[in-house]
Amino acid sequence: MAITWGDMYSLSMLSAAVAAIMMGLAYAIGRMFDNPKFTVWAKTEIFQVAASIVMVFLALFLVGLVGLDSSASFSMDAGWINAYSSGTAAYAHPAIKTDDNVFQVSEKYLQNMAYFSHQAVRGSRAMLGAMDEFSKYTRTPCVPPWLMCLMGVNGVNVRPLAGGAVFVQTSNLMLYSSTTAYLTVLAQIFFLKFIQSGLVVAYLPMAIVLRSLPFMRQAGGALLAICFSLFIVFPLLVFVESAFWNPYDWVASSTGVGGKNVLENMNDFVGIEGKESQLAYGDLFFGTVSGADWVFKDIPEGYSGNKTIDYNQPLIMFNAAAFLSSVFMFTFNITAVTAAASVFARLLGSEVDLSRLVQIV
Amino acid sequence: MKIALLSLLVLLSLSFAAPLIIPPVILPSANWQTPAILAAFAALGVLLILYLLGFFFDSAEMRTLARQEMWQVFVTMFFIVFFIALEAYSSSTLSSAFSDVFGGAVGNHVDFALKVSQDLSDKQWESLSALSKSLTIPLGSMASASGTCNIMGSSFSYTGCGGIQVPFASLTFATNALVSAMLVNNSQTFLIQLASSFFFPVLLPIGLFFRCFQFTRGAGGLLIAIAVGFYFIYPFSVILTWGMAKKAADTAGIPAYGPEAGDYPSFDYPVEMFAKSFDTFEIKSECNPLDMDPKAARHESERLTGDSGDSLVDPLVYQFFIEGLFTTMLNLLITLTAIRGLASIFGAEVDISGLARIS
Repeated sequence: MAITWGDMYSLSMLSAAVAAIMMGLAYAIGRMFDNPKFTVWAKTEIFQVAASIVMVFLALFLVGLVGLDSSASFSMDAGWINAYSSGTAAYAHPAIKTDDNVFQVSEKYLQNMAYFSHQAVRGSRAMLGAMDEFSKYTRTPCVPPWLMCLMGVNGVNVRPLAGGAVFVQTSNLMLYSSTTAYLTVLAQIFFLKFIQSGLVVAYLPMAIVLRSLPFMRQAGGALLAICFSLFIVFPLLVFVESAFWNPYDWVASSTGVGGKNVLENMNDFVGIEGKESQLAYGDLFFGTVSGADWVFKDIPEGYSGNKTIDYNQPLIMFNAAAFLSSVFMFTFNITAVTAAASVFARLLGSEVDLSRLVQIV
Repeated sequence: MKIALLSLLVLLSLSFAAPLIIPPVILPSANWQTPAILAAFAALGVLLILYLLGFFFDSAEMRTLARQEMWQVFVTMFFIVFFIALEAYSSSTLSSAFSDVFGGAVGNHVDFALKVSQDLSDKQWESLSALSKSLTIPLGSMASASGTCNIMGSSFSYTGCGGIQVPFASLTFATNALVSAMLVNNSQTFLIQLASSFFFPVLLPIGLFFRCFQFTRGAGGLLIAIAVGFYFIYPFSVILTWGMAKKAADTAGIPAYGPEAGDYPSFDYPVEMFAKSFDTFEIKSECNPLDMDPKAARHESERLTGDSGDSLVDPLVYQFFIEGLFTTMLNLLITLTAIRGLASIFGAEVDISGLARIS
């Protein structure tokens, strides 16, 4: 059975009631045995229950603020950061609306990053495929052609574009880095989804009970700190990044080949917005197909007309942007979450070390 | 006293009513000063409220705590002034000084570093493209040639140019390294852009705000250290290492990449599917398998190790391994080391080795 955020209030109150009953029992035992240790302990601990309830309700308010609780009447949305930057307006895969809450913006931003990284994957794979095919094209002598090759295939067999195999390896390298970037973004999306609906939800009520028990106070504080940093800090970080870091802008402002920018080059090359260019493989054999993005055969003409090789430059730039936007940013986000958890935990009188989360990357 | 503080608290909110002067899209020349100053004022406002609550609850401890923390607001203000001065100094003096010593663009340190990084990337691609189109690909293609003799169903093939696969394999390995260097160098460019568009204008104000409070000082210190490290240390490191590498190349007499046309192998690319006449028994190439020349492969290998190697291998190795891979790694290591030091100065106790790991 799924636990909804609405249930959290009831569960938190129930946990607080359980903790209060435990304090009451301790107090009653203290009175029954006329033992002041119990009564003093119960009186002291009841304040901790109150403190935990305040913290949990503060956490629940913040959870509503970031949009995790859809029934919350007050929440942040994309319009808040659009006042400072039009960054979120630039996304299209999918578009971010001004009334999207923090989690929706974060998820859509990550989906845009996933699209970006996926485009890098497609570009690398397209280069790999093109170079592989080019390098395997074999030219066989057929003499004389006007006599149906009556004299067989005597002469020199050659794979005129075999040297293109050099870029098969480099494409493999780029495919590896772009796939890593893509998987890292997907990991972030699922991490966000886990936060949104995962087991962490159950930690808050548990934290109240644990924090009310003297020997478990540190564990309860740690749980609360983890909840704060995961529910609030991580999505907020991604939310802010969405407005101030847009790799689409940067690659669009970088010069590519053929008088176009890097983003346009990539769109042309992987054919997401122009699939017809992939059909130009036929150029290898007939040299007449239009859409000469894949032309390799111009090499002898001063080594200058080769578009496919030249596409490596924007591809490398695109891969670098994809790697930085996903792997580096994820590492940075996790580092910030670790710091936040540590700060919150100290505030609650416990110690939390989430630095091992960085190893996810 | 209380009335004065209350009045100040009311006035503070007016600072947030100032018209937004942040450009719609935050780009390298982002305005970070306004958010930073607002962050300091916001922290002051919070502490004032805490101080007044101390009166309300009649808590001397709360008032003392608020008073102590207010010093941190002044420290924060000092940081802001220091960063403004450092940025101005870098634009007016440091960048010019670097430009005088090493040559190159003049602007602030971020623009300078970006220009250096982008120029290096363009230069790398120029060299890699020329190498590939003029040497690597012709060699690989030449190596694929084989002579075939077919009589009455019996055939004989001789891969007389197959030995050229050896220098081709070396060049393939080299190209892989060159592309790695380009990937790293382009990442450096984007990292500088990230620092100037996100780390400094966004993280610094947040860090300054957090640093004003005892419990969040660690997180604030970390954010300030990252922002300062990537905005100041990293670009300066890029400029310095580039300048040093440039000077070293001049001192060592490493020539610019640019073999003469005669240094390249000649290979005619027969692109038609079938040979069209008896002339095409052979192909126009330095290596013809029908010649059965045993020294063909050695001759092509000498392009890398012979006389032309000076203008081919040396500049490439220097350009990609020193200017491309080594300096970019060094820049990141310098920055992360500096961040570690700065973080402890600013009061953070967080391990940032994760960031170092991806370098």
